[in-house]
Amino acid sequence: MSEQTKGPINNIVELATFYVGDALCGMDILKVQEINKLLQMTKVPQAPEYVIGILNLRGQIVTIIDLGKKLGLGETDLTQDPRNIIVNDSGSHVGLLVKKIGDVVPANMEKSEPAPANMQGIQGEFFTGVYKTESELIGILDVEKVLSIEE
Amino acid sequence: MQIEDDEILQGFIEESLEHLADIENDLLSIEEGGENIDEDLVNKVFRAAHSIKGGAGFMGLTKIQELSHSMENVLGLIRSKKLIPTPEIINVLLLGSDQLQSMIEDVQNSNDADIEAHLIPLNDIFDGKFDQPTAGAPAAAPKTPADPEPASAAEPEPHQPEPEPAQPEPEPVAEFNPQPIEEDISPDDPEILLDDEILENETPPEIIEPDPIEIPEEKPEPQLTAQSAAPPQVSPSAQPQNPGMPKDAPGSAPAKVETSIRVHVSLLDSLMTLAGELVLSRNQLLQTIGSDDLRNAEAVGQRIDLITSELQEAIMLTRMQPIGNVFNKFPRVVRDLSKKLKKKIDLTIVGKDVELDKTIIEAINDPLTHLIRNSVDHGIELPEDRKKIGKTENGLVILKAFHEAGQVVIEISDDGKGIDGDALAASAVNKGLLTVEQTQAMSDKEKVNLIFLPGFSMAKQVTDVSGRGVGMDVVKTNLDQLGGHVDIISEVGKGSTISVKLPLTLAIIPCQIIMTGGERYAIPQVNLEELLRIPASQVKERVERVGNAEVVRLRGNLLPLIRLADVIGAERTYYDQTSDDFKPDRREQISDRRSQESPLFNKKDSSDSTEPSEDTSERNGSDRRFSASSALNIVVVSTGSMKYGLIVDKLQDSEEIVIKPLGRHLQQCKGYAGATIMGDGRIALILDVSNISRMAHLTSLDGSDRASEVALAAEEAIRAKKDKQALLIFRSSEDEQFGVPLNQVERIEKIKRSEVEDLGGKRIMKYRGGSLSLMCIDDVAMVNPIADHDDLLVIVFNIASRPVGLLAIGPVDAVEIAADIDDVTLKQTGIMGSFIINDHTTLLVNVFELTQTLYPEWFEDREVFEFDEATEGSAPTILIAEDSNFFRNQVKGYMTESGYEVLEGEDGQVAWELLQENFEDITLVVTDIEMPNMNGFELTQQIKSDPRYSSMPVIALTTLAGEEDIAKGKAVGVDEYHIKLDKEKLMAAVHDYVKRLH
Repeated sequence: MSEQTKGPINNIVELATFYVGDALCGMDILKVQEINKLLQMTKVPQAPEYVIGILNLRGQIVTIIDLGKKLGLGETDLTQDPRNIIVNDSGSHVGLLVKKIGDVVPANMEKSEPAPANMQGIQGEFFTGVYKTESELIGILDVEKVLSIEE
Repeated sequence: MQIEDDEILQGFIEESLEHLADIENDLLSIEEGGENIDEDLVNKVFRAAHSIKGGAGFMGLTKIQELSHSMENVLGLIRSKKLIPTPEIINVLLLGSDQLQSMIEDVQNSNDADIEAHLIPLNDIFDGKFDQPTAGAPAAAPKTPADPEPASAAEPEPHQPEPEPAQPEPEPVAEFNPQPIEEDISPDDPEILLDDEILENETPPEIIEPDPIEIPEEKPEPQLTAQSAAPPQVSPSAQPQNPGMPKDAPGSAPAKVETSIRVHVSLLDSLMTLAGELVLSRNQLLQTIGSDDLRNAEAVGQRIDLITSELQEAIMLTRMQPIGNVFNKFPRVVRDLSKKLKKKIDLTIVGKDVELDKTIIEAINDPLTHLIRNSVDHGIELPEDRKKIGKTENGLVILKAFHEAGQVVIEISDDGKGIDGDALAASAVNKGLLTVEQTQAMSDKEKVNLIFLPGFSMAKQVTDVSGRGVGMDVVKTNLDQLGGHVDIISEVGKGSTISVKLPLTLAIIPCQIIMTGGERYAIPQVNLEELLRIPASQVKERVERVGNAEVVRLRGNLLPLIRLADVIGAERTYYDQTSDDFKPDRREQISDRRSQESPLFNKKDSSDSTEPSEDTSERNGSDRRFSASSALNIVVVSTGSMKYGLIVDKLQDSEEIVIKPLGRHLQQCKGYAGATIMGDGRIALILDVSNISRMAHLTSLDGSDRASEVALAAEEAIRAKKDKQALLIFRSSEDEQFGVPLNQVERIEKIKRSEVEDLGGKRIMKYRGGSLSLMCIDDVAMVNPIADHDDLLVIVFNIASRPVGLLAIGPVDAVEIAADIDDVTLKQTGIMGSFIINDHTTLLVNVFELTQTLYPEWFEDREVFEFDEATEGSAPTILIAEDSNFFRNQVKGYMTESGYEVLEGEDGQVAWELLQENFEDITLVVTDIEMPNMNGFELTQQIKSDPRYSSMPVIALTTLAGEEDIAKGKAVGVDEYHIKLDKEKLMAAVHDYVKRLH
């Protein structure tokens, strides 16, 4: 909801949308560094369950988090051409593995609504709000929350 | 205050700090020189102070300017020889430079600093008023301005005349080391506390303590309040007076990190050139990619490879700094500390120019300080004590850096009292860290290394007994993190040497790449001891279980095994060579197959394994043992005192890798030190060997493991009492296998058949500028003729002082067998006997006999000599003690052939009895080492300790003369060691002794 107050003029934010499982989610496109489909991942035994591996992104080691697993929607199917959304995480990069990339949706954040406790099976804690377009409902992902480390 | 131009200020700070670093050491040299003032040196310090003053004036740093001005004044007097630099004056100057340094480091607040305490004594010196106040002035330094009488604090002090040897001045000065310091400091600050601080807070309070020591007596309270930042148990003055070591201030926890570095212009130029070349190569590469010209692409690839390595090297050079940067502060540390401790210590520094990576230089500062302090504090004795035991009054601490095998070695040695390993061991037992049995099994070196055991540092009694062991585990941990290695050699009463081995750089490290669970991992080479592959057929014998742990027998020691997949929780797989992929491994334990080894089962399994791809799901733990892929690949790694084997699926190349950090989500994975990008662009994780051992609950230097290890080894030694003989196995014809004792073999050469020449009825080949006589086994013995191969092997022996080659064919192998050699069934000329190895009957070749038969002329001289020897008096009698029939008969054969009488005993006991019965006749004893009832050592000891026989020579025979055995033998009185079956040397020695005795 912080976006409501500190968004750009008219509070219009461009949301990059993507599917996690069947749920349509979105995040401020300015937070996205790039989207790729590098899947030559190296498994990291011992890693938290939601970390599915690490990736070489032009010489940088990028941790890939399976958003499906993180949000409790089950594993993302690696055979269905999933994508990595690379975001900046306190200086280093983290990849969020999603099932599919959607459109970029301009959204007036003033119109976003608080997230319900449970949205299509996803725990509400990972969302800052919900945005309704004419046809769809976009859950606005709380990237910081997703990237935070439990315990 | 506001400083306008950051860049200029930064430049001033850097330059001034550089000057100050020099000033400190130069002042110390000036102090050493005393009256003989080295003008150049004084000039140098003068100029340094002058340029700081100039810079500070320009920048508006008034306090810095003021202080440097006062210092300059004093230095000016010294330069013009109007003032003799006494230790007191130098001290004032040193304190001044310390203050300067702290102000320069905190330049923004420097104008608020209180420098009165330094100015007063400096000005006093300049005005010639400096007399007694020397003592008090520096002591007053830490006092707040609120303190009313800095001078008066000083004046009443001169109560203890200081017997400074180097002090030319008559006036009694009290400032250093008055008694109170010890009473003040030692009781409430046990050394443990102080020393630990070094590492944690990096506060060497003693360093500056000599000066302010009176304070606690006089006015403890104001100081404490004034210096609230200083920890209470440390002398309150520590912080402000100690800017020379900014890291040491408890408040400034993060170490000073330099933001800029000086690089030689020529190095920059070469970097520039390389960068230019790289650009050119890139252009070439882009062109080639367009043109589809493979050959050209290859050339460009090579070029880029070359330039990249050169560039890497050059960039690495920019990070290299002389270790002198760290070493230079130690003269001061040693000086101050030795004054405080009332010791006389000379510090010698060697190898200041040795260069190390910047990060390493920064990181070794604290561990080194700790080690130096340990040497000064606990190593070197007090002058009186040194005199008593006949040492010079001045203790010597040597700090030395040098390159060795691609690493930098730093040695800190002292000629002090050394470390008493037994005391350490006893203390470890007291602490419950080890049991008595465990310590008994330890070598002296291991005992000394106990000092590194965590938990030991807190043991107060250790410090009391031997003086060391404080925080050493922290030192070791710090150095381990750098990929370094610490080792202590110590001799009680003579001193100790601690050597630290460090890698040149941390950025790029050579690693061994391994595969497990289908992923690649890198193991740093510094941790790598060796790679071990246990063939499927040996897994059963060599891998055992001790308690819950799996261990492998490696050269007589037991090595704990960790399965990498289990520790990091990867899928357990094994590498199947036939299908070249990884398959899940469902065995619970490596030794599982044992339970399934009924002969029936085996048979079925081994037939299965001939068609491994048939149905993998039916494979079980047992049959895998019999296919090639079931061999175990073990990476033997060591970290500090610990050594263990990591079982991995597959071993790959060794590569130089660049460490990249893992993201924060993976910080919880302790098993990795980072990741690296491999040639194919994929990532491999770098294993943290010491954390992995922790995760697997292996404990370091662990007593219980070690004790059981030793016990097991001893047990094993008894079980396998039979001698082992190392043999070289080869073939001559395709289907006959031969062996010769490995220790007789000089070399093995590969030759072509065409190189063999037949001349004058002899077979020879050109070899090392001469001709080498060649022979075949079938020349003498009734065996099949040598195979008609084009590629032959020549096994070179040295018989009768000449090289002789034995033609053979491969495959060759070296094996160790128990000595159950049959010397009857297949014995013939040139063949000693036979034994069975891997179900093959193998003939043991008697090379000596072969040579003797083919080249009798080589032995003519010798035979004559031998008979002379024998006929001179009555034939000398030789007593042979040997449990193996085969060897006994061999040796007996040699002896009788040379005309000696022989008595034989099948063990030490029998031989001893024989010796007592036939004492008169026996000239010499030849004994085996490993024998039942009484072994060779015991026999020798009995002989040598009996006055009747003590002059009797004893020659010991072993299959493999190990250093340890030899030392042990020498200790009990063995006169000479010889290798079994080396007839020539043995006989020469026997002749020699016999001749001497007759």
